[in-house]
Amino acid sequence: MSVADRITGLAIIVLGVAYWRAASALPKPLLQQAVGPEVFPHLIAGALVVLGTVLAIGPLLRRAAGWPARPTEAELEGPPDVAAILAVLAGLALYTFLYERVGFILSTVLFMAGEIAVLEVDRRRWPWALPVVLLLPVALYLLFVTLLGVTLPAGILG
Amino acid sequence: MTDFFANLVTGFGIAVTPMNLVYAFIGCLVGTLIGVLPGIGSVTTVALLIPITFGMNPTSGLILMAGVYYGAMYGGSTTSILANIPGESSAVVTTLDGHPMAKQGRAGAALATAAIGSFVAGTIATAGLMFLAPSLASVAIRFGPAEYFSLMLLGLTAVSALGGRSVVKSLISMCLGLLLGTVGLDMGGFPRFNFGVVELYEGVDFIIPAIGLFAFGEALDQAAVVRRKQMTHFEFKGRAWLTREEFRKSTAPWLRGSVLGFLVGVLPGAGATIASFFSYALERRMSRHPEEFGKGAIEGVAGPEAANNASVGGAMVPLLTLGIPGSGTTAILLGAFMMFGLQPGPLLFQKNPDVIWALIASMYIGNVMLLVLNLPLIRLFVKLIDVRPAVLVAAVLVLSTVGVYATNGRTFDLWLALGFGVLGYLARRADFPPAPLILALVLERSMEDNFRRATTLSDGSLTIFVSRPISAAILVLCVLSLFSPYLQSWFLSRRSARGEPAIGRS
Repeated sequence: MSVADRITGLAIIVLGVAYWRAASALPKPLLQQAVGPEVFPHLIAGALVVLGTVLAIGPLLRRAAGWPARPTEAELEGPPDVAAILAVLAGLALYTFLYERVGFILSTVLFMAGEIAVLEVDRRRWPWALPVVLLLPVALYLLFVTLLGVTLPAGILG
Repeated sequence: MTDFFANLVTGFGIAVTPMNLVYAFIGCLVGTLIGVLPGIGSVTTVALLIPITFGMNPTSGLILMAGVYYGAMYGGSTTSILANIPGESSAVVTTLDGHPMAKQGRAGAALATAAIGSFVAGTIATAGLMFLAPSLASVAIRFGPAEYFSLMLLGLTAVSALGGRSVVKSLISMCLGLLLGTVGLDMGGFPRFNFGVVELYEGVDFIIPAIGLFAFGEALDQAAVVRRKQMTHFEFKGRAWLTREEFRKSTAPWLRGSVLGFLVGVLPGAGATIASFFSYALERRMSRHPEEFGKGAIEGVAGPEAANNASVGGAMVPLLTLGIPGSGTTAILLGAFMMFGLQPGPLLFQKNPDVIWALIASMYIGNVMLLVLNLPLIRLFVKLIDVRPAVLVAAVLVLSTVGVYATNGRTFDLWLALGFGVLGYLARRADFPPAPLILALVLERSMEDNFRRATTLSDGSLTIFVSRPISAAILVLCVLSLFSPYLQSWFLSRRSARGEPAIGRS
């Protein structure tokens, strides 16, 4: 994964530099302070640049020192099911879009049904999931809104 | 000493009110129920359930969350034993002997030794917390801002050094958390780093990245494998109970694990995982039949299970007395304290002793409740392991959105959490641990606050952190902690060279 590490390391360096500049641009407070609001961010920015550099050149150092490369979590797990992940993300985006517009209960029923349809390969299981899909959203709504006094959008049912 | 018992009596007085007993019960039950779901660790459980406490008073809310924490720790060991699925790294050791025991039809004994061990350990650790915390608080109250800043830095570096596979990546995660913490209003009340986004004006609520990185991240992680995962069905018959012989064999490991776990839990950065690994190594060394370990030795379940539960009590010591969490889970608990307007630290012992003592009393009660719940209800919990992963992923995502939305009641936070979820998933794949980020985010405000106060005292000079002896000593520990993984791997490689089987870091 040395390529991924090198790219991540560079991205961290860029982030550190951008953050440093954003901190330098902070308006100075009117009252004279020994340490302004930019000093602590500057320390973080400096640390990010140093760490990003170490991450980017780390694999080279490691090879030079003759240490074996350790497999990352990703290499141990093998390739992910990208289609499933994208489906979950698309589902979440749609869910978020509908959350306030149609309300918690309806959007949640829709979201759960969609997710289970995509992720459950064994179609014989679909009918068994139906009670969960229909009851969980209602139960959560009643629990949080009625019992615990937490806000959830009622939407078109409200 | 009379003060001490007066405090404890007051604490029990608050904790034993019917409402608080109900909250402790709900916390333990729901914590166990969610913790038992395969692949869901205690951090995720605690993060997911924080919204339940939004409408409560601080004491009840914290009592409930402490119950959740305990329940989640115990729930994790159930899946380790029965399904060989550790929900988090601290439960990995339990699979080594717990799962072989289950395969030999001794699941009941493994579950019982875990449950009773957790009870023994929780009780001992709570007693340890009760005796150690007030005296540590009275020392800590003399610390100045420089010492506090260094202590927090030590908390962060220790977690970074011990919690991940790569120190550099952990530290990057930590710095990103600090960076995120600076977004919002600075000490003087000036807005910073919000890039003109109104919703970021007051900063990022810790709960959003916590749920995003842990819960969304974990759900995405599971979604990535769910369609090709083989479901392993298993049955659990009989009762969770111990024979006289098994009880006798478990007693010493419970006690040793409890003491070890508590002490390790108090140390910054160490925690449940390291406590359980230490305890396993200790039990194997003490055993007259070390060859049985890995093949279903009950001591290999009893010790580590006690140790990881005792570390919860241990971790409460720095959390309550110094305001420094030692793990992702305690970081979220710290966030919960702050949400209720309480700042853990020595002052909390003076200003809100009722909260602290009620929490301690409820930890005793929670332990009893868990024991009473877990042994008879084990069959119900076992059913939950069979939940279809697709349903589980969908339900976790829904619960996550509830927690995120309920924080401020706006969908902006849901988009933000979604972003953190993607980041969390990618970070997990690339071995960046999320815990240091959350820890740093929760600590940033008081860290910067102490930094600015210390440097104001020294007229802007940074040397104050090394010229004050206690602060300097703590900074030396920070540096040492960063090198500790390298020392550790050197130590392990020497051991394996001597022919002893190494137990790997997880």
